[in-house]
Amino acid sequence: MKGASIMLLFIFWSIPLPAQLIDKKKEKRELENYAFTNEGESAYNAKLSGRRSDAVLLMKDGKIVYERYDRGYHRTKKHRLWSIGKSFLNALIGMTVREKEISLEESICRYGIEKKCSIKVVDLLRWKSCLKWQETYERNPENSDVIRVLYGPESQDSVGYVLSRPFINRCGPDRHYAYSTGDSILLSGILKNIHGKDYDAMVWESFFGRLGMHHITVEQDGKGVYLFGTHVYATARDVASFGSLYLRKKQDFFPTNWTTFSGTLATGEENFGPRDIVPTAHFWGNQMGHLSTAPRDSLIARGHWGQFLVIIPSLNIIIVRFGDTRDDSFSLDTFVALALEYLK
Amino acid sequence: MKKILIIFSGCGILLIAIFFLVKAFLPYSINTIKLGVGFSAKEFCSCLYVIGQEEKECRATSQGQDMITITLEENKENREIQASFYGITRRASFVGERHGCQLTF
Repeated sequence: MKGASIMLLFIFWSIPLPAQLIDKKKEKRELENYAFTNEGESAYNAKLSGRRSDAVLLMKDGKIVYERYDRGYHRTKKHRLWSIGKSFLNALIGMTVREKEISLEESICRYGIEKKCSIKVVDLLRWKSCLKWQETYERNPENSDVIRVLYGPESQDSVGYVLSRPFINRCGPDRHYAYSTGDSILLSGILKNIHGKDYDAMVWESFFGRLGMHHITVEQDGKGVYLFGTHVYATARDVASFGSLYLRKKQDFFPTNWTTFSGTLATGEENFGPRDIVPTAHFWGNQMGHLSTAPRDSLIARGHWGQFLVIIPSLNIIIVRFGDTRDDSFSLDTFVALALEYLK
Repeated sequence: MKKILIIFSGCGILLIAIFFLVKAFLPYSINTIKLGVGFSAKEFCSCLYVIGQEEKECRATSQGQDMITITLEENKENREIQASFYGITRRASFVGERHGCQLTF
């Protein structure tokens, strides 16, 4: 018995690490020092200050090469994704385009919406509905449309609430970009209208199931519309699997060039400066060098209080980071630089 | 008769005065506080039953607004949460592994 376990230990010991990671002790220490240093008691910090990382997962060439959890989280414990879930809508729309059941240039009124017909599907994907919307959170809750639609009686019909918002006065020919959870709610409502009774099978089998994402919760409004924009819970492994969807050489989920489309700033958007993170199609892009060490083709999904997924198609790398960071102590740029140093 | 009327209107004015006094000292509008109570109910529910986090951590992270303290009660049997703040109450319940928690009105 003892001999067998020593044998087993020996076998595990001798499984080689990817060659390039063997001599990366210094880089690993620096990455961990940055991500996992907590102020005071690491698990329960009453002031909720500091980085408070909960998970870091790095994937290269389809393999997990680094994975660590903290503060009670582990491989199968779900974490709040907040707005990372908005990027799940990009995937569901991509899958629906491939099935030819939706066209990005069509009006939303083709898909069961009866108001605000000048909005096209692509406008929602790019957060350009031009609907008046206050996207503020707990620090500035007065008159916040997000808090109202999620936590007030309006949560009983979230699509109805978003459609009740008036258009802004100046929309312009290229339409005006304004990040809005309301736009994500409309997209989710459209998907439900299109797929009808097959929608649950699509979400849970054709999407999550096929990708092996098994620890997912997506909460709904009072009418059964999935709140992908905010109320999604998953593990770091699930989010990495989601990210890998955009690295596939042979794309069997999306139409051709969907990854490029998803990570590219819309034409007509020149209002961004150096180092700005740019909005793309329910993702964020790196065209202005927001992540100084990452390639320009990176796709970023991010959520409230420090949730991040970085997909780098040109390097075949995926970076996931969860936390409960409520101050400005965590910099995605610094973290990604350290992660890429380790993965070099 | 006249006396009763004076007492009644006096009480009325006093109540209105108290209402405005309390309102002036609240850090948020009543509407926003109602939303905050809704936030606490739903987020405490999800924290406990969707994530499976420890109660202590869930209580600390489900307050939402720093300046008021919302009371959170758990009905373990029905997996239901009631959040309240001076007579404003909101309920959220766990509906299942896939669909998590929902606010009920």
